[in-house]
Amino acid sequence: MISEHIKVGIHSVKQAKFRSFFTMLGIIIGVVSVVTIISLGEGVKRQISGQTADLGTNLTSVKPGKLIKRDSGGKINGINLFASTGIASITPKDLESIRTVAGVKSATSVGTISGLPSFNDKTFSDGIIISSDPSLHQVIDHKVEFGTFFNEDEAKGSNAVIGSKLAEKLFKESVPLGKQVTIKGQNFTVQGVFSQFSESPVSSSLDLNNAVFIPQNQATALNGSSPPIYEILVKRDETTDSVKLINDINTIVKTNHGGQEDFSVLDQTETSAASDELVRLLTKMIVGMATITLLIAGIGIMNVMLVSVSERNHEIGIRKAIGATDYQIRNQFILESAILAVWGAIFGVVASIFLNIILRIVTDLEPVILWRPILFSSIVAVAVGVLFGSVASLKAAKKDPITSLRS
Amino acid sequence: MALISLKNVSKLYGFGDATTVALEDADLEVLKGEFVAIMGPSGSGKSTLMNMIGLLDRPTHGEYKLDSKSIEKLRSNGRAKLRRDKIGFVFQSASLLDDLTALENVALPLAYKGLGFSRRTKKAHEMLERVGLSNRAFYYPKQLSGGQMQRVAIARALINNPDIVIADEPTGNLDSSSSRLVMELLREVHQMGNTILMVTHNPELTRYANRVLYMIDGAIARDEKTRLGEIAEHAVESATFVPKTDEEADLEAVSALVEGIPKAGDDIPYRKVPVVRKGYGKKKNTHKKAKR
Repeated sequence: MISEHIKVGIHSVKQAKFRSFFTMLGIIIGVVSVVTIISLGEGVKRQISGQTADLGTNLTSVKPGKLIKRDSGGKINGINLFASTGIASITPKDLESIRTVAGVKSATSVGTISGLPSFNDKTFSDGIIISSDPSLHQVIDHKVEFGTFFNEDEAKGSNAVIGSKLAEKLFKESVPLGKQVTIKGQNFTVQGVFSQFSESPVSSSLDLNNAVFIPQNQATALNGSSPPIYEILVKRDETTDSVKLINDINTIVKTNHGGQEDFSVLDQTETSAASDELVRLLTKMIVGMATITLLIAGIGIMNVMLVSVSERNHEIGIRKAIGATDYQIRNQFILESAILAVWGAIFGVVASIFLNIILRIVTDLEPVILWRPILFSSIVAVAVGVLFGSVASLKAAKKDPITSLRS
Repeated sequence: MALISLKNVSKLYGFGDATTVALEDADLEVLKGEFVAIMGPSGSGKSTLMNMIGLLDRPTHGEYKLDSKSIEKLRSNGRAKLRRDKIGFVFQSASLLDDLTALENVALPLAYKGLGFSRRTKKAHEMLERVGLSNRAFYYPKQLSGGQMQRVAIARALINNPDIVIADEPTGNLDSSSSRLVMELLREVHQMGNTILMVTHNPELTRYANRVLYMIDGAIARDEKTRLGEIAEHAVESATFVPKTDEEADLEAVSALVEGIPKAGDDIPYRKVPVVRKGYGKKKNTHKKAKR
């Protein structure tokens, strides 16, 4: 029985190809939206996680501003994305205090100063200047691909280590060792190039691939004062509990700040929490909108099925005359609605895979297609098709056989 | 015991002044194995009677028993199942589903009965062989001639081995040779013991029937037993009966009224009152009123 229904349903869809396509279009758009948005969100999250992982393991970060709220168990229960804007609450004294906390293997501060790097009168407008000390390299464990990171002696001179993208964009070569990068009129000798850091289009962190790392004393001289600290990175002993360390650092920095908690101490896994939360919120919102698209598509299916029921009045009459019950007529039309929805879902999934490939090729985004959103959107699409199709199917089932036969 | 039993069955459409009587107080008993031809002019209620017997329609009042069981209280699905198992329909136009092959069309009632694919395909093949169309099993209706389509429709009507076959002008759209083939097929079905009710305008086809009902104005006007192979006595008369037009009927009615007006000097014993029938505001075919 079902095979006949499917055959008639497919034939009915094929007969009105144009109309069927436009009916399915709503489902296709809905499925493409859900799958693509979730894939993009997942891709961005993974890119952000990659950035964090690049900096090594057992890391804790201290940032200015109260970015998060924690519950009594230490878990984050609130995020303020703009808390650190324009705040420079972390001081060199905090760095010194943190270094004394038990379980801290090493700690370093990362500051930023204004200015753009240039080479041969060509300026790299995306560049950023980061002030750091030699301990940075011990803390972040990221490989210097060519050359070396500056040591204590080298930090006294005008030496710099640069990100890989800056090397390519500014010097037009991968290994510009020994060349001079100019910042605010002062030349720095490139003595190292970092291997590539993971990139993310949505991140609260700096893009280190575009950075010039210069020693702190040089940065202070360029800036005219000690540069504001963007972040203190802390490498903990492997045996030390991260929650305990966070509490200890929190206590000592709070003491330094006269009891005020105008800073945030975050575990490595939590540093991307703000970006993750932003991505999650956006994803939820757009998936909600896409689901509404699916519902509207359901109304389209209902209208088409209602037209189909009217057009196939005579067929309904024949089927009833030869013994079809109301249930069987109803099931037939529900199945036909489901066929429209299933085809729409299949086309939608194929289209979203295609779209994701295009996005990977033409943008920096790296969407990750997961089976869950595909399954979710397909199930919702079919459910919507069946739900709205049932309105027309009930109408078909209730038709009077005599009237139908005469039509 | 009658297979079909109708007692005072009527079918009315509309309400109040707009009421139309399609079938009026029909009494009919049909025995198992009878071949009943039903004749009458258009609008005489033949199809309404067939639809009633075929469970496609419900009587407004009256009693209908099929195989001695009252079907009055059966709901829509119960009627559908009874229709599926006991009644086969052959319509004037073959009424096959265009999207299905001849084989699938024939097998469709079995599918509604719940038979598996292989069983119903096998039975449908056998039935197509019986109507001489096994070589057209996988043809779609539009690839078949009118006669072939009607034979497929007969095969579909017979697939559930029904007690009753209702054929509503089965040769109405066919040429003479195709008509003959279809009628020979119905004769075979009759000889196998099935009861056949056939609506026709063609007196020739009464040769296949052993009983002929003549209908006029929603009523069974005559019930004639006939011998197989012979044209029924009143069939030609019925076929050539042309109902009066509304204008003719109106003119006749006015003439009758004028005749009824007393002339000067007539003795007037009482005042004539128009007869009101059975409490309905009837608006039936006007030629009926005129005749009466």
